[in-house]
Amino acid sequence: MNMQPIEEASAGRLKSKQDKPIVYSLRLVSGKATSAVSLVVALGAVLSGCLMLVRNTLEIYSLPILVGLCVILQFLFVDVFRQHRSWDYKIAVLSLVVFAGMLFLHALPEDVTGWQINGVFHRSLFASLVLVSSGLPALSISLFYLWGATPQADDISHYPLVLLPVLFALAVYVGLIAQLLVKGIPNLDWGILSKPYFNYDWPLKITVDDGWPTWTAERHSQLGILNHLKGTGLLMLLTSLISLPIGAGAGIFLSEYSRGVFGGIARFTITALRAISTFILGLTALSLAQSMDNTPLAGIFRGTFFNGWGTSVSTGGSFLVASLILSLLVIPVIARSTEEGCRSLPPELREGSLALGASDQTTLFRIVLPWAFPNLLTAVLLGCAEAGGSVAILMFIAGRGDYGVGPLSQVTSLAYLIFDIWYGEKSFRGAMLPYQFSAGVLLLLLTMSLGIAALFLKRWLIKRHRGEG
Amino acid sequence: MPSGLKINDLYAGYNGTQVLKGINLDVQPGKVTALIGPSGCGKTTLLRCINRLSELTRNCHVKGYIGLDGEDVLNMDPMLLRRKVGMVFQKPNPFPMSIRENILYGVKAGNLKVDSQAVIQSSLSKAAVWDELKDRLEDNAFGLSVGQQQRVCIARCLAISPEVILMDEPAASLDPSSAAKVEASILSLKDEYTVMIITHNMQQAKRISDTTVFMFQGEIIEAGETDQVFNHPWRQETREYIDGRFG
Repeated sequence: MNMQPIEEASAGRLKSKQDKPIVYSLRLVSGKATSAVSLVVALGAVLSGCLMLVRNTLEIYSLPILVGLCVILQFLFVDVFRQHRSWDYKIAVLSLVVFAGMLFLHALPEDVTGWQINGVFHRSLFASLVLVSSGLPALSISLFYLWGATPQADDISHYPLVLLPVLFALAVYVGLIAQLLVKGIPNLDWGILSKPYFNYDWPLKITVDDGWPTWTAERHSQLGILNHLKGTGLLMLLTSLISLPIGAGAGIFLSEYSRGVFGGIARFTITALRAISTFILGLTALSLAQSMDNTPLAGIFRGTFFNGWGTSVSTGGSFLVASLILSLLVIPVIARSTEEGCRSLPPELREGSLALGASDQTTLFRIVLPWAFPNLLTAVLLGCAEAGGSVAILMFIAGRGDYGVGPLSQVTSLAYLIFDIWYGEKSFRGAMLPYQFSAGVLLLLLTMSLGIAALFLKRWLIKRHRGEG
Repeated sequence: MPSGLKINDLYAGYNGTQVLKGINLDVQPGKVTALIGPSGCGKTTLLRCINRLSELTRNCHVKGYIGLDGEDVLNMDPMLLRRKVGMVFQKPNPFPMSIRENILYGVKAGNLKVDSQAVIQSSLSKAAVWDELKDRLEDNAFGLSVGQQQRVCIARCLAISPEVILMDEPAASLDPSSAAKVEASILSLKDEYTVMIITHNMQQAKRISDTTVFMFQGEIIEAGETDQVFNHPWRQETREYIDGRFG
């Protein structure tokens, strides 16, 4: 038997287990060890690069990490040749890139300016950039060799490249919410929640002095956000009441009845409603509120309040106006969702209903709408969340809700409160500033719970009403 | 009361393709008529023209005369028609409601004044599924086995007391024991209803039908008593199809 070819082929490769078991296992371990260490260093580089964005004092570790990365990459380069009998030049190039990055960072002063950069950037920004952009490929390559350099290893080595952006986005999201909670929760005063806000003069009595009437008044003043909370609730309720029938009707029309040119126009218009900037809608709300001035209907559009003498008209807009304009935003959401729900009906159910002699209308109300109901409900809840959080539309017409909250009083909401605390009158700001973030936390809780409720409700309803189908 | 169907010169097509090319057929009341033929020959289209479900498809044009005991099917109110002509589909399509609501759906939709409990019991009995489901009437129909679902669909169709029942391969997607139960229930429907059943299973056609109609490429090639069509067919194509030369 000719043993020559096999011996030549195995030169330089690990000898078989039977030869020297201890040497074999040591070589195996040492073979993986380099890529394992390289993986750890690369991971460290990427993580520190991300953390450096938040804490620029960590910047002092950037050079040591880069040195370590450069060195271990060179070890890996040699080791890969030993293991696989081929030079992977990517590792060498990466090592050079890391070295160049090191030199670049070393050359930068701590505060970078000049070169037409307006402002000063801390070096950690550049360090972070170098670390992440060299760490990610290093991570990928190390993972590849650690896993054995097979095609499966190639797939696995790309996971970090896909995972990191997602983790980054999640981290930003969690960080934002955490910051809101950290600033808002300590100041959350439950007393504030249960008290309405008011600040007005309540007339006490009118005295006539030398023929001239004078009145004395008592200032009623109280800090609270109950009116704003009630306002948010009322806004959500009114907007849903207005937009649900119109949105559901539009959705049903688009899925069941729309044909030809008119259907296309309807679909386009309904979608285009959401393309209008909310600031423009705010101006629309303002002009709608102003439209009935000097007519008997002024009170309905402007908002009325009882100020102790009689009803007076506010200088903003009423809840009715705000809900009407907000529903322009919410109707497309409901329409699109209802249409999708109706279209998702299996055609055999529709045929089954018609084959029993049911009319189109009966089929619609007994088969199609119950099927589309989960979609409809979810859309209404999401529309509510959107209505509760919108400020741009309320900006020009809202107030503080001093005189109470009702469909015909001036509109107010929690989101507007947050805006008002910052941009409102000085005394208001002085008194309410501590509660700004708390109001934000409340609003976040409200909208998030609506969103989560929508998610779970949809899943439960689909399971119940659409059965196992 | 069963009714007879008279079809004269029926032409039907979709999107420019002519599917039915001059169908002439007399369906005897109170009998089971089997419709056999290779796939794509127009059997389903014919059935869907009879209860006018063909109108649900866009660009479908139907021409000719279909008479249901003298009434012109193509010119009457489709809803009134479908209360007289019921249909059972190949794939069971129960509604996502309780079994009770499924059975009573057609009754409520047509505002028929009936004794609900009696109707439910008689329909489910005729569909050979009363014993299995009598204690489960409030269960969602989606949770039943496929065989039970199909029999519930048959019961649902029977609840509105139609005169004609159209069945498009009702036992095709069922396991053998459910298929046998469906066949048994079809046999029990004779005399009280006129049944037209499409089937690819020629043994089934021989077992349950009184009349057999063989269709090919949109035309009726042969129609007559089941015995005669299967044992002494007049046409060459019929003989070849029955022998399994094409399918």
